[in-house]
Amino acid sequence: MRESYSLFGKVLIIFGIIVSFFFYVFYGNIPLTAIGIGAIIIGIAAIMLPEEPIPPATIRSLIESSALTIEAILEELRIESKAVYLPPNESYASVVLPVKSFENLPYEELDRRNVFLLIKNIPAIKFYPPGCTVVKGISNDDLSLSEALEKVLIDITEICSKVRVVETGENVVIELSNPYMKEKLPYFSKNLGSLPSSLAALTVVTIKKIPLEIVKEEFQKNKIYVYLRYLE
Amino acid sequence: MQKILDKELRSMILGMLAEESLTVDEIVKQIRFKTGLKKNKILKIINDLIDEGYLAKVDYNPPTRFLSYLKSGYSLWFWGVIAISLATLFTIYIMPQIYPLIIFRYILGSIFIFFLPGYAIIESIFPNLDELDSIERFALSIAISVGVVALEGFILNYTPWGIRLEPVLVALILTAFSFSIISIFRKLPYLRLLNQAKEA
Repeated sequence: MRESYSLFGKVLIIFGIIVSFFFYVFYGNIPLTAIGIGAIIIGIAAIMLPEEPIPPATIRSLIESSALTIEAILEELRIESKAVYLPPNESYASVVLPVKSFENLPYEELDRRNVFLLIKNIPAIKFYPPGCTVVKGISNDDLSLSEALEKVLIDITEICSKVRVVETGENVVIELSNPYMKEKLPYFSKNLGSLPSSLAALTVVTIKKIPLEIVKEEFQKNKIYVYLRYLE
Repeated sequence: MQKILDKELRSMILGMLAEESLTVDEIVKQIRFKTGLKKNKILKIINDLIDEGYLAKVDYNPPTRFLSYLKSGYSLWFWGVIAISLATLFTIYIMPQIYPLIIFRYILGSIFIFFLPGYAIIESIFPNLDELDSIERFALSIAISVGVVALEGFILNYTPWGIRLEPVLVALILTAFSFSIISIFRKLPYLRLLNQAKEA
């Protein structure tokens, strides 16, 4: 985002210089010269916009390293089931990963403090997914779903370049353009979805405060379609 | 008695939808078959349930192509823009310029200048309805219209045509129409996404 402001500023400055020079020297037209000078001023202001306190690439790297740690654990455990994203309960949004798939996971009864759980005699692990602290930061900003997704996925982490989202009752479909998927995380992707999808699911669960799961992901050229389903 | 009936009806509808997704027509038909209630009464309860967030109204087959969009109910706003533009032209060139008919020209002219261009631009910038609520959309439309009309006047002043009725009309119609077309193309990907949601 910061780079686009900078580019916008440079374009405005070049445009302003050409317009003001052309109309002042050749036409002697003061109003159009003033427009050119105005464009130069706006361009300078755009270039001078302060950088994000932490560059998005740094945040993305931190999220990636967190995902790599989880990937290593999941590689050992070889769990087949899909994770359930749980809304924040006084802390961060979390993820429950049962060893076997559950039809009706008793979310309310889960003791969120434990890492290892036994749900109806089925072992499960609960952990905080990568990016939960980032998402927690925007949970009180009173943002709509699309605004929150844009803020987390584009402004803060730059993990994709464009987000479109539609909500249809119990389903949410998210389109992520140009997703950043440098690290291959096969076990993480199998259980929690790809990193951009996981971050998107995490944002949705934090904003909507309803447990959900990633039903499927469709990878197309430069795009990921993420299908989420609310579980309540 | 009436309240108890409403409650029963609500739980009946929610019970039916807990088992499977149904269209509004199917719900009405089934409830009428079971209870004999009037259609309006059932529709009112369904609307209440939607307003309260218990039910979601989802169109799983929205138009996904330009022409089908134009034929669907989603494009009402677009036809509204066209209709207001044509009505404004009618009041200027065809309608007799006498009192009280000229009041229509004032009203439509005001909408045409102070709302329409901005509305089309806002629709193209925020194609998804969820991005802005209707009040914000309305206020921004007026603000942007004022800015755009002033800017177009400024540009027209430096053209051979100048700031006269015809050039201003043409410039504003072109602005509203071109941004409306851009809006449609920006709205279609959301409708395609909605269409894909049924696969989930």
